[in-house]
Amino acid sequence: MRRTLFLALAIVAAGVLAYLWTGGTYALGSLSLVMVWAIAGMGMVIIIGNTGQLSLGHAAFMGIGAYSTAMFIEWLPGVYAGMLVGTLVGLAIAIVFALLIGLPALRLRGYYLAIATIAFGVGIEQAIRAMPFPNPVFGIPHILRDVPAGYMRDITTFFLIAAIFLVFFTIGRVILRSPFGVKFRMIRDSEVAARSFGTNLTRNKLQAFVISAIFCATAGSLFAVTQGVLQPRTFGLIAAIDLLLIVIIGGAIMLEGGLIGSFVIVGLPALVLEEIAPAGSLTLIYGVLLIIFVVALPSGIATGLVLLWHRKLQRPYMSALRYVHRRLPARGTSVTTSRGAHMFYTEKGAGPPLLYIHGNTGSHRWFREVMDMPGYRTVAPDMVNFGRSDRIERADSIDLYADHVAAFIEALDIEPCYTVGHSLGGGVAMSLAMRYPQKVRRLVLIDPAPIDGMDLDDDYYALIEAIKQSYVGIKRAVARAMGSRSGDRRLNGLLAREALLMNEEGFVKHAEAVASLDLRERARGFRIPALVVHGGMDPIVTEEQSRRTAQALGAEMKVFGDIGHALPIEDPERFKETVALFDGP
Amino acid sequence: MNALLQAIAIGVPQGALYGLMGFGIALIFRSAGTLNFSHGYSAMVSVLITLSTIQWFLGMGWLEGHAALFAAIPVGLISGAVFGVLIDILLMRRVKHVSPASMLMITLGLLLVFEGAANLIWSPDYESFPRILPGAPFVFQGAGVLGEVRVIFRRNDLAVMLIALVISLSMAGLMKYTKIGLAIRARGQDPIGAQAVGINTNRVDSIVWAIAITLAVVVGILVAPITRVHPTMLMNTQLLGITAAVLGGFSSLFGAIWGGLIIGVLERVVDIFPALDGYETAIIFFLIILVLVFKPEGIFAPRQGRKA
Repeated sequence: MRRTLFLALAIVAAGVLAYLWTGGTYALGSLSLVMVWAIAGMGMVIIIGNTGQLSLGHAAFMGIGAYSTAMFIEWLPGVYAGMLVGTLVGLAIAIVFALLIGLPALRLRGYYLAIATIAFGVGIEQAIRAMPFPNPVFGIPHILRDVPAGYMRDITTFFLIAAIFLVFFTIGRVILRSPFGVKFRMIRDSEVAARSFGTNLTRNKLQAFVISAIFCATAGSLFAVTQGVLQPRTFGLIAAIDLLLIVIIGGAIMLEGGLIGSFVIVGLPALVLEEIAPAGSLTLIYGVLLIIFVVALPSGIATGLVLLWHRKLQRPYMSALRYVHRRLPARGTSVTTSRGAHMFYTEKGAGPPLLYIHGNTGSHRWFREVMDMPGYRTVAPDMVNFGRSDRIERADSIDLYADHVAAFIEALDIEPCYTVGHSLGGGVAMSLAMRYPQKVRRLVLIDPAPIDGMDLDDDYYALIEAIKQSYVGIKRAVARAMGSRSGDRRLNGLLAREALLMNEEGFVKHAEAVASLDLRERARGFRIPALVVHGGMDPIVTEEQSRRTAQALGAEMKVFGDIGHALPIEDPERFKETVALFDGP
Repeated sequence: MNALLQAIAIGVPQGALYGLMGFGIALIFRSAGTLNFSHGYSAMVSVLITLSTIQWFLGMGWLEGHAALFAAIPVGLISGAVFGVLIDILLMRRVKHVSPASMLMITLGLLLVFEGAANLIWSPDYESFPRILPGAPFVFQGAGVLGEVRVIFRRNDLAVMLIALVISLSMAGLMKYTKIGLAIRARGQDPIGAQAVGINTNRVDSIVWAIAITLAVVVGILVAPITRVHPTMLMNTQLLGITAAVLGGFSSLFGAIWGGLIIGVLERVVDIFPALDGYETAIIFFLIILVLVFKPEGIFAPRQGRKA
């Protein structure tokens, strides 16, 4: 749905731009034509890019749709009735032909399928030419005889075609994401594997063939209606090659490829190139482009753009996001600690101090829903290297972070304070409580970094390296830590952008620090009352690890079966209850 | 009956041209492993070169009338051979690893390149081309056992048939009795085996492309007086040539020639029925789908067990 909306915006923007640029509605007509071919192109994306059946005959389905529409408009009294009936009849004929041809032809593969479909395509074109009704030389002129030409027609056509295009885009997307689409792609990737999974090859290929024929026949009907003129040659071999160009250059895997390809093959010549390019040069260029794309970029522009976005543009994108996000106003103040670091924090309420220490990639924002604790003065800092606090040189030491938190407690003069540590912050809180016992009154650890370290293998570091390269990766990683709240896109985005503020070295160094953490020695003789809270659905820290932590600290242990890694955001009320209860009435 | 004889008289020469086209396409398919969809279009460029050469000779006043045509034909043929070698060396040799579908798309790209180049360098206009054997058609008239017969046979078709026959026989001889023919067949059957016995398969491919495109140029020059010269002049001939190759089966080279003859005659026979007039190409293409589906090895394929 988001992609459909995005496309709708892009189309309208293109229309407005084209209008402003050329100062006339002629350009809208060209864009309508682009969308018409894009609908056929999406049919080709389904049959070629997703089912792997190279059909060169689909231009014929366009021809069937176009001619039946044109003929019914000639026969029936009203133009609009003719359009509707003609389109439906065209669809019906196209489906019949798709079944008749697809059933035998789809048994063929590679060259033979291509020959069979091209024979079908050219055969239909020749048959249309031989028919007595359309004029063999001029085709059908003046299809829209009753509709007055002018800018209103261009504009209404543009929006009508855009709406139909978006409907077909959505249909195509639903089909490709459904089990049908999965089967189509299985057939494309390996017929043997598809069959061994119980796919009925003939039936599924035929389904893809008929679906793509429906797309193409509709495009043909719209072609007749928008162009107003049909020539016998329009749907011959060249149209078949044009369709191929559209999917290969646009991108055969994604539906958007149909639109992009159509814009390059149909739109650019109509809008820009036809006036400046000498006759024939376009054909030549497209021929060269086809060869280059097949050899060098077989996935086409659409997929190429997606790859470019994920491989090359993530860094600049994340830098831009970081730049903007850092400058957005945040509620809170900064304090300079005795260690010379500026530390950002928020606080709320009055009473005995309650200190929240966030986890890896986190910030004070992870506690924004639990700042309101009746009877407490809640304080949530960004640790150094995180959020809006200063960066320090080292990012590999949990003890050093604890030292900075201790300095922060001194700066705010809130010792001894009730301390809550989450995840990596749990490790920091333990280190703090062990080495500065006078500063910590009570300790609650939410899914803390295990006291005896975590067993992370080399693959995990490779994964982190990959994750930190892309915003999507960071977002997913954050969502994983958000447990049952991971579906909240808004919060997910906010917390992912907070993660961007972290010292980048931290991505790997923090994992290393958590992995090599070992506080068991220091835990001997630990006297501060402590509670370990564990979420039963936590995918990061296991219950076994939390239990060991609790045992080493001599702490109480609480397990919430329905909670993941982040109790403070997953269930703020239960978090507050638990924290208040542990402090006693 | 008369109509049938007439259909054969026009269909056979036409079919011979389809057959020669199909022969070249099948030759490339079997040896180099590419189904060349740009076959006729590369030949079309050579026909344009031939035409320009004729006009140049005439314009310079060096040669007159038919002499110019015969002097220009070798130029056209050589240009075809050069195109063949260039296509192989510059493009096909580099993309041998790709799938059939990709290879097909590459040749379709070549088709566009040739068509675009022809439009760009020459023009999209139709130009006339001289016949090899000009003059009034032969008319065979008389009463036979089947009644009154009157069959018209175009004079140029005599040249077409003779040339087709000579080429078919010389190709058969080339493939059967010469070393290069043996090398071509070996490369088609088993490229690695061919390399193992010392055949330079790259060179064989170049030779195959050169021969095949040259044959297509011959077809183009013979067909040009009828279709006239323009960038898509060989489109139908090429499509029907592929069809001929399919009908004959890619596994036997000379099946393409027989396939071409059948298609040529069938085209004219369908024309006899007024109701089907104009539908001949469509009917042939639908027949081809049936052949592809039910007898993909072609109707002239050698039976299993016999030597290919």
